[in-house]
Parts: sequence; C-alpha cells; structure tokens
Amino acid sequence: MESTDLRTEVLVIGAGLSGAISSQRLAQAGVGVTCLEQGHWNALEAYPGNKDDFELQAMGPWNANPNIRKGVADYQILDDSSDIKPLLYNGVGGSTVMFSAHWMRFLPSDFCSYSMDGVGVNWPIGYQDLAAYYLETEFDIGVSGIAGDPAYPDRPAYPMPPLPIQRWGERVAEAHHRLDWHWWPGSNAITSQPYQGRRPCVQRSTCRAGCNEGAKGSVDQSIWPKAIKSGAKLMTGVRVSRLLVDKKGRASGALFVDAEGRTRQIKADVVIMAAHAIGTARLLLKSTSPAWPDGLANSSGQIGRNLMMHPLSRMVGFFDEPMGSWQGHWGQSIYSLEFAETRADNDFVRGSKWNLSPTGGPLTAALYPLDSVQPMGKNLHEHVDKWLGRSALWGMTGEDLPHPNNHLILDKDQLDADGDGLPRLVYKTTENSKRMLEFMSKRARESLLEAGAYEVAKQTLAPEAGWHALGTCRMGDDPLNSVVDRWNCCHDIPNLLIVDGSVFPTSSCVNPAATIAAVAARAANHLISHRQEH
Amino acid sequence: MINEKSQELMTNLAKYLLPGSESQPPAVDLNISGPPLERALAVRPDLESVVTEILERFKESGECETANFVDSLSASDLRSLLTVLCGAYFLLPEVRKALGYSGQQALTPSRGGFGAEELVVSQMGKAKRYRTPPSMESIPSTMVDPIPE
Repeated sequence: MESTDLRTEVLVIGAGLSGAISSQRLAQAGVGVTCLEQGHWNALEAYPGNKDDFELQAMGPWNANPNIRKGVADYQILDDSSDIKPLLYNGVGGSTVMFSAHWMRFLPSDFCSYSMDGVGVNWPIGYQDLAAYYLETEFDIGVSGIAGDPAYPDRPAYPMPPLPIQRWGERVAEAHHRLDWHWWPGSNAITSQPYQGRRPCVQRSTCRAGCNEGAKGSVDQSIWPKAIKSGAKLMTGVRVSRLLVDKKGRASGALFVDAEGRTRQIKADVVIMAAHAIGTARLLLKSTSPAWPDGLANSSGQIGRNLMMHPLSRMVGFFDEPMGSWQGHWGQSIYSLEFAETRADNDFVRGSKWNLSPTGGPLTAALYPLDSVQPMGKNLHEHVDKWLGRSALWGMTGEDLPHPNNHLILDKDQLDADGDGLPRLVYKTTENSKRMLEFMSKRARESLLEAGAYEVAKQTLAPEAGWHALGTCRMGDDPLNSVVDRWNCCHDIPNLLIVDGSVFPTSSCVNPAATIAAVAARAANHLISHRQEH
Repeated sequence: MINEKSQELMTNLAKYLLPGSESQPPAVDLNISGPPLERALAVRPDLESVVTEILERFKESGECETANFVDSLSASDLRSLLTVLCGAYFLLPEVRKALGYSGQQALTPSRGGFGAEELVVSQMGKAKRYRTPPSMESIPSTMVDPIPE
C-alpha cells in the first residue's frame, strides 16, 4: 500500500560520504533534511578486525565486492562485461566503511586535462574552487598528514600529524631519496591522535573491513553523529525504487520501500542524489516516464556514460628483514607522485599515483592474486614464509580517461526487486591505461629493488580492485553533453542535485574521496545560499 | 556439513596442498578436515556447495593422482578450495605459533614521530613539481573522447 505521509525540505538519497557531508551542512544551516539509506548502522564491535578469523571474513561476508558479500542491503551488479569488478558498501557510511582511507587532493592539472594534455575533458571548476572545501572537510573527517609536499600547491597544516610510515616505508623513502624520486608520508582519513572524541589508530591493519576503534574517518563515525545532532533525519533499511517529478517537471521526492516492506512516498522541495556512481546512475535510469523515456534528467544521453574505474597494478617486494608488515594502517604508509603527470617521453598520457601498504596476514599471503601461478604444496608454505612480515606492496593507480563506450546500462533480462533491469557495467581497460600500467610496473620494480627487496612479484591489472567508479553523470557547462552544472544541479531539473563521484568529468590518478567530499560540501553551501531559487 | 567420506577426500587433498615445511606443520597432522574445516565453512558458508561439488568430482575420478586432479580444477574452483583449506589451516594456533604470527593486534600508538623526518625535510626543499593550469576562464569546456577502442 502506498501512502504520502512524509515530507522534508531536502531529500538526500544515500548515507555515504557525499550524502553525509551534504546532510551535515544542510542541517547545520537549519535546513530540514532527510536521508534515505538502504543499509544499516554497524556497531564497531561488528567489524571482524579484532577477531582471529579476520582474513577469512574479509574475503567473504566482509568482502568489498557486493556480489560476493551479498549483504541484505546489497543489490547485484552485473560485471561479467567489465574488466574491473566494482567494490562498494551499502550502509550508513557507504563505502567509507570499507575504504582504505587514502585522503588525497586532486592535482591542479586534473581539472583541465584537455587543455593541458589534449585528452579527457575540462572540469568547469578547478583546484582553486575546491581548496577551501578540501580544508574544511579534512577537519570534518579527521585527516592525518603533513603539509609541504612539493607535488601540491601550498596548503595549511593537516588536522593531525602523519601516522608512522613503518620500517618498510622508511626503506622505500630512502630508496626514492637516492633515486631522486618523489615520495611523501601518507595522508589518511585515520586519526593519529585522539580527535573529536575518536580514538587514535592502533595499527591493526584491518581498515578494509571496518575499523573497530572508530579511528578511520568513515562518515558513520566522523560526520553522521554531527549531522544528526544538528537535526538531520536518517532513515535506514529503506530502498528507493524511483524518483518522483511533479507536473511542472521539478523533482518532488521519491518512492521507497520501507523496512517493513511497505511502499511509501516522501515529498521534498529539493532532491540530492548521493548513491555512488553506480547507484545514482541506476536510479536515474530506472526513473523513466513518458516525459523521461531514457531516464530522469537524461536529455543529454550521458547518464551511465563515461564510467571510469581506476585500473590498478600492484608490485610486491620481498625483503630479508622481518618488518612486521602485517600490521600498520591500511591506509597508505607513503605515496609517490613521481609519475603522476604527463611526460613527453612516455607512450601514454596522464599518470599514476603510487601508495605503499602493508601486506596482510598468512591467508592473504597464500591467496594474493599475482600474475604468477597460484602456489601450492611446498611452494605455498615457502611463499607464505617469504611474504609474511617481510614484504611491502606498491599499488599503482592509473588515471582512467572517460570514454562513452565504458558505461552502465540496465540489463534487459535480469531484473531487480522492482522489475527493472539490474545495473550492468560495460567496461574495457583502454590501451592508454595498459601502456601506463606496464610502465608503472617497471618503475615500481626499480623502486623496491633499490629499497633492498631481493625479489618482486607483480599483478599487472587487479580486476578485483574497482573501488573508484566515477563519471556516470558528469559535470559540465553544456547541457548537451553533461548531466549537472558546476553547482551539481541537473541541467534538466535544477532542483535535482547529484553530489557523488558520478559527476566527475575525469578521474585523476589519486584517490577520489577527498574530492567527492569537497565537491559535495561546495554544492551544499551553494544550495544553502541559493535555496530560495530552488 | 562435510561428511566422513568428504573429510577423507579433503585429507587427501590437504596432503598435497599443505604438506608442511620446515617452518609449518603438515595440515593432516592437525586434523584439518575435522573441526578446523567446519569452522572455516561456518565463516564462508557460500563456499560449502562449491567445495562439496569439488570433493564429489574428486571421488568420481577414483581419487586419481591428486596433482592431476588439482591441475584440472578451474582457477575459480581452486581458489574456493584453497580459501577454506588455507583459511582453516592459518587459523590454527599451532600454525600461527610456528609462523610467529599472532594475528592482527592492537598496538600502542607511537608518540615518537612518524619516521624518516629528515628525508621529508629534504623533500620539502625541492622545487614544486605540479603543473600550473592556465586560468580557468580561458579553458573551453570541450568534450573529446580520444582513446580508441
């Protein structure tokens, strides 16, 4: 049964990073805001990090791949046509519950790759438009790091000093010093000291399956408590099935299924989509009507297009020295932007961000998906001996350029609970990315050998590492080829905003969370100061 | 759950996959196919049907040469089998003690600096390396998709 019994000024769909940032700012400004989230809260004790079977749980019920995890709030994503499998989390906090918390600002050139390198597309905004929001959200989330990195414009101090870079970080830092290559202590959304009532990191290295300490700045810990205290309402266990439009063609709310299985409506003056690049595009494509036969706010045909997934290579270095490298934040120990910018002598454009990480326990060692053959028997035992506590891992993320043929569609045959097509990812790694990752693998090998590794092993392309789905509702000034304007308002429906990573016109090579937060904060502030126009 | 015959089959596979080494005990010495396997499957119930089916095929093969059987497994099946077998094995206190691995522990946060501070100071003295974009006003918002399929 359907009932129209709910009303709010601003409706936010999705309680992840961008939804939390938006809700907090709106509530603090006195705007009535209600957020609908299909998942639930997690108690810190629910996370497996402090259990002895952590590794086994992290590969199953706490896997970041929703198709493996199959949680109650997860929806299936068809990924057999995608080189990279999507990773995300549905629940309060969204993917920040399981992310590795690398907190990196985009580089200035990331916003104008077309003008500078002739590829991709320019953003309608730049680094300078986001600088203040980067800083504010670093304090909201709680980021540790150290200012002064020559790879970035000058910036004020971080809220907290960096986490320890660990022995393996020191070895690689010394190597890069000798090579005259860039490196810098990792900036992470992880507390290095008590912060706003949260405990400091205890270096358990289980960040990827939730933080038992609340030290990681997942927004269920860092943002939502403040948002709720300011008056934001958060409804959990409710699944939005489509968006609603009034007779004037304005967004008017959403239809959702509540925790008891009842179909309900919520009316709103403004609707903000914050459901991840996959979830937001999916919901807009589901919300068809005679006026919007190809999906809501999709006159450009761009919704679902230009999906970017950040191809990733990995290189593991094996050392003689015991370094306890199953501990430490995970989290980046150090990062390098030595090869982040376009170089004239490369056979690819744009670049890669490297992050150095610990390497996990014995089960991770035994099953880590490298290019080499899966070890078995005596080889498996030897491999674990070699890996456990004596290794370090470079992850090399390549900037993924937008391409219209890399896209999300709704499948015609496999349907969801509403009878709509399940989201299907169609994604191929470009030749530019392949050349880039091959180059990065060679350089990462040099890095680790210089650091004293006696052997290295690589994974050329990590198909299971699709953390950074971006770009399915891109931002631009031209309504013919973009979905939202520079203030995140849909060109077609100005009181419908999109604030998650789907609006990114290009992907940078660095982790997107900091920029998602800054873009969402900027959009929320603009909405607050222009709300009468909506 | 895994029955007696299946346990026997799993033991034969464990002899091949986790035979032990100088630093790690043989899995079969630790009754890997009994309670340890049950515990692993309790964490990964989604793999039980896959593992059961693998064991059934092993049985139908007449428990042929184990190496040949393992070689015949798909990458996905091999990963499922190793996940529960290694998952069970590396949970055992005897194995962890032999490896010197005490699990993922909460450590006392360091108050003594983050490490390599002098090298960071050296990095700070280097020239800025980011590229300064032209002013945003002069940049056309042009759409291009230059990467060929």
